[in-house]
Amino acid sequence: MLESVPVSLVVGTILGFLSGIGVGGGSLLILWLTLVLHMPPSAARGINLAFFLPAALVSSLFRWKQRKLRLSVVIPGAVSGCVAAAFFTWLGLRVDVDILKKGFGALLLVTGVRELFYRTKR
Amino acid sequence: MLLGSILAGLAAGAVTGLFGAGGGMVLVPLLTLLKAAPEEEIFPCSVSMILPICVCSLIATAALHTVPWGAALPYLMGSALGGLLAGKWGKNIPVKWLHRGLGILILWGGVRYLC
Repeated sequence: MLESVPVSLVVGTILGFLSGIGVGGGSLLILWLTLVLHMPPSAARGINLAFFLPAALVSSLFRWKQRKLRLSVVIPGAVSGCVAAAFFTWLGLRVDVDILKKGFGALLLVTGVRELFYRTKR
Repeated sequence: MLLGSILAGLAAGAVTGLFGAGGGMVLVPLLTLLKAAPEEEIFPCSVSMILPICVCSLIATAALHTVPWGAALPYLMGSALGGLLAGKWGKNIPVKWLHRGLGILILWGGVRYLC
């Protein structure tokens, strides 16, 4: 039932909307896939990475039209990030899943506390 | 500004590559901390930086492992629809309490991952 196409579509739309307004939809999707649907992390990572692309593309096009994208910031970070992403993807698919889970759990705890004390001024 | 952007990109790429998620979790605070962009431009810059980082990680994942495209498709369609809705109507939504709720869910996820 929870893995059905209509439920996936509704969940994707809600989380895509949240991503679009800057309220971490991607982090919620990985929790949904791994902790609710009990999907293996190696499968969930592909879906989560793909999920972010349409919303990020639409959002980037909107910002590009509004002239709110500073390419002098975006391009260097994107290039260095791509190099790191390729290497660490290779590494991540070889590291023990339990170690990755602990690392991601720690990152979630730090992010969760930060979100709890979110200030609208940001 | 340049160094800040490069360092933040490296960290976001490392986290995205390792976990398949979480690049934005480190990118926004790092860009802010390293003063890589004016405050109001941090979020749009981070989304546009994460986009190619996710593409690279996705290509590497597909090459080295598998991506369940069939299961991913409805989420992709929802993501596009949600992104469009956010572009149209998301501007004036007060996000403070959404962030609080997100914080609680993420903390729950963190505890579940650690225990």
